[in-house]
Amino acid sequence: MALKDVIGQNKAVNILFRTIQRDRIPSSYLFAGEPGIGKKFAAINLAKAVNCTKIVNSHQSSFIGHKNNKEEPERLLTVDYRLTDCCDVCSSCRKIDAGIHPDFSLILPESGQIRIEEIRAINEILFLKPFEGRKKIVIVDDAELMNQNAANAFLKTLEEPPEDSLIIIISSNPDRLPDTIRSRCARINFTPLPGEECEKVIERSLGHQPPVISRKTNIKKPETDDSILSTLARLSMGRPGSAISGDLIEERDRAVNILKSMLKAGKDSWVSRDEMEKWFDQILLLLRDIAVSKITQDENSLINSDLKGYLNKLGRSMELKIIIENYLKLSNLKRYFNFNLNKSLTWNYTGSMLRKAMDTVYV
Amino acid sequence: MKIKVAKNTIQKKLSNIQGVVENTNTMPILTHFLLDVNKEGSHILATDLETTLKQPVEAEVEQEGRVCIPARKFFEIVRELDGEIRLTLDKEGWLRVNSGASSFKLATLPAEDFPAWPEMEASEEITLNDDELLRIIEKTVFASGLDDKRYTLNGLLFHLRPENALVVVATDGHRLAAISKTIEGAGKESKAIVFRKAAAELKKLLDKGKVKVALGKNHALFEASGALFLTRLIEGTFPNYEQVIPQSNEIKVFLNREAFVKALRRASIISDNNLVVLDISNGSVVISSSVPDYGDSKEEIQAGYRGENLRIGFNARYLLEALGVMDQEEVVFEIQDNHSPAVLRGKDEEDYKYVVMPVRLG
Repeated sequence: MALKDVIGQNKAVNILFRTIQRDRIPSSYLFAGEPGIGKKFAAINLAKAVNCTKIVNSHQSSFIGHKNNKEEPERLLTVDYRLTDCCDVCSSCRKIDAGIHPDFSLILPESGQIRIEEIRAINEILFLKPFEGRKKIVIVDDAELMNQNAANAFLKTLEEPPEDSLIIIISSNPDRLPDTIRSRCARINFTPLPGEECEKVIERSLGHQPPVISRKTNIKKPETDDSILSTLARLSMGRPGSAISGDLIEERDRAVNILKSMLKAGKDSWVSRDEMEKWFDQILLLLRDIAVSKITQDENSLINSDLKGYLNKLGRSMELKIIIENYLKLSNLKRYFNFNLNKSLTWNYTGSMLRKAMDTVYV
Repeated sequence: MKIKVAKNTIQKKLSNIQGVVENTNTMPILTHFLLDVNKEGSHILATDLETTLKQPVEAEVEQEGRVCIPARKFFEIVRELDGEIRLTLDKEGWLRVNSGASSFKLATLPAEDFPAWPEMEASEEITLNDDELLRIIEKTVFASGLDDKRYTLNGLLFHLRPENALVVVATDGHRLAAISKTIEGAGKESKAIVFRKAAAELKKLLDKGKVKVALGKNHALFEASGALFLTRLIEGTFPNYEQVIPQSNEIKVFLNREAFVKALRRASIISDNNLVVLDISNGSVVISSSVPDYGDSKEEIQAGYRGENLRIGFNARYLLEALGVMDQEEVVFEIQDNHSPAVLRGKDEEDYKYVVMPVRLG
């Protein structure tokens, strides 16, 4: 994979290509955007491009000759990437991919935090000259999870990074980063992907064998590859990464099953608070779909279109007003999740609310 | 890969790399060393990404090959074996170690994953004797910073000056040690900051003979008795040491080194953060220290000095460390006043200077 293989982020990728081409790479980037849309993928491939042994550092002069070469027009890249992108075959590219390049390090949060020790380790990598590459590259993923000490320790390095270094900070929640960090980075925004491109990404990473749909719900689904792909793409909500890292269909089916047991006044079935939060997201989507199918009758605008029969039935039992009311109530409740909501109380409350609204016959 | 090596040859080389290979598990490949077997010559390569050591190994090669072997375990095995050792790598990547009746099987990693030996850029090259380099390192390395946030202070500056001199400097911000040496054939000016740990590791490798030193943009390479020792340089600008070394300190106090060392040691027993006070007067220096409500000490030593009385405070550890690496019988303490940097050096040792800041007395 290379930088040109980043799908659906043309704007961001163009900026990156141009900075490489003009040899004006800033010392620190902030890649901002929702989770699962290719920020880390782009960061790793930027690292490869910067250190690739096949690229000579004379982009500008040689670039002119290739300007009119129009290959792959559908990519809509406004710069010729072939001179600046990584080759993906040299030892440097392969080592970065495998995470064993001596001048490359990827910092990930451990048990929900990035601690000061890890930031100190970055400083130690950066203050030495590069080992074999042209630049030392540090990627900090989920940077908003830096605790305050770590963030403060990072400031000094970010302000005056040693020569030959590139720091890429990745955050799906950049507003939670301290101002002092944000202001020191060149920010590049990544956007959620349109459905078609979502499909492309999912198809590429899953190969041509999408996961077999689980049969926990007794809902009939067509099982051709294409429809699974498009279901996955729609469920991912423009974030193909979420479809790649987990089985979205299974997750959704589990959410539906939990809803059923809730409507039957079953016991608290959320395994964890984490699952409770995800369940709310799923249910809000279902409610949205019910409302949409009630209003438009258009199954193409549904997110869970593979469940259309079930959604229709549920929809018939509810009035639009009640659907919207419940939607609002649930999204209000969701806002309190950061305040340590009690799991079983939430279960009972939500359960009684939904039992009033939905006709349990159709579950 | 199939080779035969003598135990003693390989054990020596393996013990050399133990200080270089990484112990932590951040990158498993770094706990391994690369064995590169070639009919033209075999070598072993170890790195912790800061320093890299490449040593030739004499071996009887039956079949060429390259593989990464766990350094610590292999060393432990070799240490316990006797005589000739046969190493064979099978297709599944297992290394068989046979010697006499004993045999071991070790998991290995592919050679391609090992960090590449970095290419040296165009560089300035000089040649030194091993004892000269050893002296240079020993006389400076103690003064460099330990884990200082100003990273450049954690290293030794190798400054190649156009006037055929090599100056090596170390400082931690409170004291500075500088040693200069005339060398033949230096051309351009060049500066390189070598990591303190690397300098200490290099010290162990110096054996009889010449050492070739090459200072590049990103790396410094030392070549001693066949082995290549390469270290990454520290980024940044080293403080301007010439500005720090006082040129015209008027007060010169001549002291017997051994007597001075002993007196300082005794004084620092009862002291607050190693603070000792020197009362310099005609012909003598009184070294005293005290901790309020605890106790004090006082000792007078003879000194070659004529002039006004002066009271000045120092961190005894800073003085003792420098006196420890000096070898002359008599040392000179050159002082300006009680708040400017002082110079300590051997009486006839013109090429080595140790600058130390006095401690302000309350």
